Amino acid sequence: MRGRWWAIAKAEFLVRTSRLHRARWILYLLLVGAVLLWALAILPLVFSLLLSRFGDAFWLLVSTSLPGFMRSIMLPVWLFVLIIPLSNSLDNVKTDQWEILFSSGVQTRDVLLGSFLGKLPVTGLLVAVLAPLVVYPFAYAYGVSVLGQVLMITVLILFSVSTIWLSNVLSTALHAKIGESPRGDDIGKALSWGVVPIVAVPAFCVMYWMGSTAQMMGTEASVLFPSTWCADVLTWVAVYTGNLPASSMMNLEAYWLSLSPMADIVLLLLFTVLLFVGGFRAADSVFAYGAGPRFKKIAQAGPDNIVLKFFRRLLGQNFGTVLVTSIKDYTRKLQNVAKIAYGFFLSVLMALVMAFGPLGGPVGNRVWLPVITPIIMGMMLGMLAGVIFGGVGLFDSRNQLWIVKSTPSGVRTFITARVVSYMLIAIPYAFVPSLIAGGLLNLSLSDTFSAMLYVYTVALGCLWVGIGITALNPSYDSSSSSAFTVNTVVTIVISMITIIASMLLGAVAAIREGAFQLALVLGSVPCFTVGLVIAVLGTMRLNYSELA
Amino acid sequence: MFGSIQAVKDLSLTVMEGSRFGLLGPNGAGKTTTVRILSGLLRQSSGTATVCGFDVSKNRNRVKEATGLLPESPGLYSKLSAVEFLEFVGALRRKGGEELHRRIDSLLGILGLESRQNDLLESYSSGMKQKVLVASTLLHEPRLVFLDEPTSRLDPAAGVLVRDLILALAEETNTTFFMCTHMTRFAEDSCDIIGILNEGSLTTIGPPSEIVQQVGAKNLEDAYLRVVGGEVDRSKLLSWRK
Repeated sequence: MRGRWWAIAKAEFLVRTSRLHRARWILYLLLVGAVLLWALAILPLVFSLLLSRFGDAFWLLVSTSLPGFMRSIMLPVWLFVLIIPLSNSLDNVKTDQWEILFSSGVQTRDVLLGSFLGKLPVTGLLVAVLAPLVVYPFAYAYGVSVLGQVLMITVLILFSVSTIWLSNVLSTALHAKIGESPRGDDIGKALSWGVVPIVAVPAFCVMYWMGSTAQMMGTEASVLFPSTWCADVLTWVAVYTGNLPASSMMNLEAYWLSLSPMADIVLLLLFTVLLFVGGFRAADSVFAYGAGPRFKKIAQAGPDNIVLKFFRRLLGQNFGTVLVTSIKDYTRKLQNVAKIAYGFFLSVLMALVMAFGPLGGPVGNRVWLPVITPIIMGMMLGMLAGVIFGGVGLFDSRNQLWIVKSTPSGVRTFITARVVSYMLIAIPYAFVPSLIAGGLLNLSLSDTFSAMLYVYTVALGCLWVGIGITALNPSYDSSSSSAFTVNTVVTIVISMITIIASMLLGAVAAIREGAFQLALVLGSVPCFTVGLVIAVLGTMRLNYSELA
Repeated sequence: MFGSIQAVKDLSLTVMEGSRFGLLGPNGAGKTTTVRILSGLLRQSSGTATVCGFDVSKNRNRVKEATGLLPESPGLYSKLSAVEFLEFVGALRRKGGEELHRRIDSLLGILGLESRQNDLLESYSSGMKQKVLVASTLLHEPRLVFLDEPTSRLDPAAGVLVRDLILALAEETNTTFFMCTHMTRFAEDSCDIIGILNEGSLTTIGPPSEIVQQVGAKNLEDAYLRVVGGEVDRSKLLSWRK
């Protein structure tokens, strides 16, 4: 008889492939086939085409710095495999099923092993897509033998499996820690957004500053990352099973590889063994669910601050109260604060990439920067605004909608208050990153001001789109529902199209009128108008009584 | 109509002002759909209904002004306190100022929530959330109150409290109550007229004692089981063990 972990693994697999429904086995096998096709046919074809196009000189150049590039690529790939499943699992913190498991005599290590094995088939596919991208450049540049390629893939699988295990241990521990709290779901969602920059920063560095990143990864400090040990083992295998001349091998070893192959292999194996043993040993203490006395800290609502009191007075006791309630409901959710912080981070990062990345130098910063900074920040903050302010925030549940609908003109009042409250929250959302970018890039005061204005108007248009789309197709509190996915895609597509249309209109206005700043702000009109129309349509749809 | 399923059919019913009407029926019988149509939330595919003198198809806002609805499950804002939530519902109903706050204090006091009134609702148990919803339904002193499964999440003491609140309000203020429930004991204690809805049709209507007598049952629960079926065949209960 199989252990209890098997039943947990099976349930985990069924949950992860639930979107494939009844045809999950056939569709899953088709997916495996597609991944094999990608790894064994499509990618080798692409690389051979690249090889013939760039010629031997290019590949010789690549082969000399490949160990550094390997370390640079392995770091974001490792973080991606570690963090993204963790982020996804935190988006939906639920420990209810644990009570069923533990009341049936299941051990915590069974939960850990079962959930890990259940995740492997799906996360493994992701690894199978990424692994050849790491192996093939070596295979071509160093002429690695088939045996060498097999060895490299084996090392990658071993490293991926230990990383997925680590991700699973961290995710289970976090679920156990926050799952019981009434704020657990909110904290989990906030963390799921908060951990993404850990992947984003190295990924952006590799994308835009590959040379400098590779140089940095060649330093001794990079030896501290497990991804470096794996990258170096891959390099060693490639070097010794390839057809590089002895002199090239010596140069590579001297310049890049500070540790011996044995040291890298031992470190990698130790890392893997420690993770598995440590995870199992810690299972009973870290994931102790419901054990011992617990103290719950209950959050209380304080009195209104001066800003909220001001809005209440300004807008009258009825509308003012609904507006203030909407602001409180939005800003007290940690996940919303995390999403806004994520928007800040990404937009400032994009502005820095545009200023100091590959495009920054040749185009002449002083002329280019005041143009590209607001456009890129508007695009980033605009598209995110649709998701951050639309999405799941409009109504927590269908019953909440019933409460609002059961009041006369409730929907109109509620949506108007929601829109106005989001417009107020969008002021710091748009202004703060624009000010930071303006300061970091040394923009003039008027350029910074027009950037703030442009970003705000685009963000407004997109947040109206987001609210309107969600009102047309409410997704409530479930970010795993198909309605949420559809709304997110539709919001992003509409926002993108209107932002591009806005940019074109802005460019025409700038050429014809010669007043760039005015053109920039006027250029946000299509986004603004489309957003408003969709928001009004959404309100009308929500107000409409459905047929029983 | 939900697709090809007819949720409610041939329903003809009059509820007197100031009475306490209970709609009994199994899950999926059409009780919630009936309440949502009568409170102006859903449109009926055919037929007419008048609530507090207003046509539900033509005067939805007037119906909503005159009535209060307690939905089936709590749809509260987890990040608001009980007071903030009640202020919000009051504002949606154009109530405010000192009068609203007095009403909130009084309702929270009656329902035993005054010591937790500033705690965020995320920390409330499901019974406490249900009490907040009951308070939000009665906040604007409606002429007619729709209660959809009002005691399903309450402990016995809280259930008795809600029952007494209903009886007191009906007697003192002439408020009409329209309750959906499958708790026969609660219906027997708090309703003067009961209708049993089964598969979308109203099969029986009358005072509880009359229904019990009509079907020759011991009590309302027995009568209910005889009308809707659902008595258990004990021989089948453990048949899987053979």
